[in-house]
Amino acid sequence: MSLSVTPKAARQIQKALDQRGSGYGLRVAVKTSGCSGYAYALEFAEAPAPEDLSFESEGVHLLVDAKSLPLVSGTQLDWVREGLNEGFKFNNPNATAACGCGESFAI
Amino acid sequence: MSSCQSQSHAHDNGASCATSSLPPAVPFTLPEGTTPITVSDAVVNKVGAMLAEEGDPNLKLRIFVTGGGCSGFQYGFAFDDATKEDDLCVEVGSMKLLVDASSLQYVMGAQIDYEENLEGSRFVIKNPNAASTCGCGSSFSV
Repeated sequence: MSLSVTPKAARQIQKALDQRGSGYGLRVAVKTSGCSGYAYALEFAEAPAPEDLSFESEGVHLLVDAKSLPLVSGTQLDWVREGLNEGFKFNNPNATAACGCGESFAI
Repeated sequence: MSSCQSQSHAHDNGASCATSSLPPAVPFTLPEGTTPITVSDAVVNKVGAMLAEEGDPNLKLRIFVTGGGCSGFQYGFAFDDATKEDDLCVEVGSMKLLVDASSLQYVMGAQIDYEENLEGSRFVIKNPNAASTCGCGSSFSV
């Protein structure tokens, strides 16, 4: 069980952390919503919480709570430019279907 | 006749944005006092920065609607240097926005905004015609 990021995503996370001025890493969580059942949520974390698992990839720390982990294990977080928009993209091997924009997914 | 109208309702006869004197393929009757599409300052600023990066000030922001996405239709954003006969052209400050007639019927009265947050940065549409939208707002149904 692990999480990873692409070099592009790592640069973006580091840039966001630098702009913010502080922070331990990026927390990836899963909530039940969106048109495909689950949706990803990203936030900065100051420190790991007791229920968190921490992964290091490309020099950045990724946190995921134990409940969310089975839904995102093996996911590679990428930073992509699609047309005029850019953002994080979740390459999640557990997802069987995803919303057009990739924000929501089904298992 | 210029098909380019400014957001401020000013009488702008600058034809720089219109390349054709033909009327739109599908004429629309707008309720009085309404603007077909409004654009936020964030969009104008971002587009200005993107055009400076591209080095081509003649590019216009094109908004279009295609079938697809989980809600049936989805929005597309692109830069275009050509204007089509049936385009609506809205001029806001230094930027020009194009919407073709068949897309316009789905986004009439919409507000275009640009959002930046941790997840990414994107152009978004607040569309009064949409009955439901996908979580991220890139897809909608009518």
